Amino acid sequence: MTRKLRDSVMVITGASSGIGRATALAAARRGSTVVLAARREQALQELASECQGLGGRALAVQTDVRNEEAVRNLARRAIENYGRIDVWVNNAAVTLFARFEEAPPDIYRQVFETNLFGQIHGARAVLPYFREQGSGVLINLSSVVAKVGQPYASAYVTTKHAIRGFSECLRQEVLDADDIHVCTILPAAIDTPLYQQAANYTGRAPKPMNPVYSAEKVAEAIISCAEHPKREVEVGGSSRAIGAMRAVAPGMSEKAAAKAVEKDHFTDTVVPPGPGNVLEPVPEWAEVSGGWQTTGEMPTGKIAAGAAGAAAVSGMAVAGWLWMRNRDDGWKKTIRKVQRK
Amino acid sequence: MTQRTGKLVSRWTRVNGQRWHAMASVPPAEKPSPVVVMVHGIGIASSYFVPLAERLAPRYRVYAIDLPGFGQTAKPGRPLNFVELSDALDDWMKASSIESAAVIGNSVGCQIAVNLAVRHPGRVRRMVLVGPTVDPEGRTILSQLTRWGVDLPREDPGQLPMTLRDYWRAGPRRIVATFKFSLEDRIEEKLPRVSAPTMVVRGARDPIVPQQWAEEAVRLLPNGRLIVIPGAPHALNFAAPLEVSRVIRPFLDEQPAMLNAGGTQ
Repeated sequence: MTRKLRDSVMVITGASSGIGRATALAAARRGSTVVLAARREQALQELASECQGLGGRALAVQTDVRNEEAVRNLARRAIENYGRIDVWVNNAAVTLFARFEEAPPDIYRQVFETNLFGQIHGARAVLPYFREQGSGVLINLSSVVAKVGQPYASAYVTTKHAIRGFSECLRQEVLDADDIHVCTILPAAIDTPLYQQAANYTGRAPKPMNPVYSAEKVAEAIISCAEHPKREVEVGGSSRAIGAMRAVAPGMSEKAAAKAVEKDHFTDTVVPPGPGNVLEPVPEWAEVSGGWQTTGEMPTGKIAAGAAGAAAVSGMAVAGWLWMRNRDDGWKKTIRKVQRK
Repeated sequence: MTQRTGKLVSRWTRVNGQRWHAMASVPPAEKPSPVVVMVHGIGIASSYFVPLAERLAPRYRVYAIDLPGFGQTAKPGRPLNFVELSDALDDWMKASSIESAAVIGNSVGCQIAVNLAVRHPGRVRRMVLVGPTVDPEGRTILSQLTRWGVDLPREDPGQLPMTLRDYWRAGPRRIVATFKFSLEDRIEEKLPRVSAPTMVVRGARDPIVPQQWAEEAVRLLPNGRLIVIPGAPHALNFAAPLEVSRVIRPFLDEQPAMLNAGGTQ
């Protein structure tokens, strides 16, 4: 049985902006004690005050998740201040937009350091405390791109695939502890400043692909997992649709994804190449939203997601029919063979 | 990182001709360890300190005492007030060859610890006040009983059998008298005279020790700090021993050399 949010201590990495910030505020609103981690000290302090104003206890611990010792220190600080960690949200992530062949190798590697090793460091730091308590919820932020690929984002996509696999492995390893849980969150395109902060070597400014959902929606999914842990939670209707499409027609869906990225993932604004916040944090964009339109939550967005879902289902039906027909042909051939003999 | 838990045994000490009982950790075989003394609240005795004591036992020499009149320690003819109880504790430490210790109190046990720290400062190297009473804002019988009633259902139900047994041993007359003494003892006037580094630990759901009073107590202490354990009630040492041990260990270890008892060297 997990604890009430009001009585829980929640550690959140990548809390200075986007989904992490939204989660911290949502948890504080419910009276949770939040331990906030990110590289940007000032943004963290401001968030801590904001959380305290909402009725939660809050502690800011400046942390670069690429540094394992820093992550261990984060866990230790939480324990020394509150005696317990009930929920650990591995959220910190950066991204890089570049064709693989044009991506600077050092930037590429750093995406893995933050996204994947950051979560590995988090899990390694917190699980011994969970074991000692006999309870705890580890929530790992993966993505809908843990199910599909995308051009221009291979570093990000690969880390998100890895996180999903890593989480599934951990989930099986903690089966021996009744009240220790590992949850994977798979958000669709979310309105956060991830795109403004991204490293970018494409020459064009990136934007989230439609339909876009709000960071608060992901925060609600995280909070819900903290209270009632689930294996995997998809956020945003398009996530499910993409998964279904992929299952039905993998080849076609890959080509469709590539086309969609070309069409919808970039604006026409020309931007110079740069490492964004991948190597060092940037002071701007310490906010929940990136100012994108949350089209996924508008009626048309829902219709679009629904249409994608319907397309996936009908695709599945067509594929099934084709398969059955082929199988029938096979039977007919066999029967004919038998008859010939 | 996983804490081992140690073993505790009953230890009897003769102090001024009276038998004292304490639950003591089986001392680590080799090097002398820092001494920790735990002082219980009204009516209850050493028993409800055992879960916390077990968690500290592998690292420290732990004694959870029964004050005179409570638990299994001999009963003085009349209930002792808090000055007398703290002097008795001083005598017990002397008789047990404990020169000084880190003293951990819960509830009114904090008042006895503070009296000891003020009257016999050499005895107290460090102090942990777990849910210190009495909040000056609620210093009436009615207010204290109401708060206690709110707290009761939040406590770990496992504490009930030992509470009833210890109440039976102490008897109603002594409990009522001690309760009155606790209201007369003004801790807020004594906290400014505590020289030992002190940590106040409060359960976030403790109605007997509101946040405001815990903060005030820390302000009054010359060297104080506050830790709040989310979700925990008044008797944190029983309801949240793991959490309490985790927050106090770094504090107890800050100056390990200072904690060594003379008697062990």
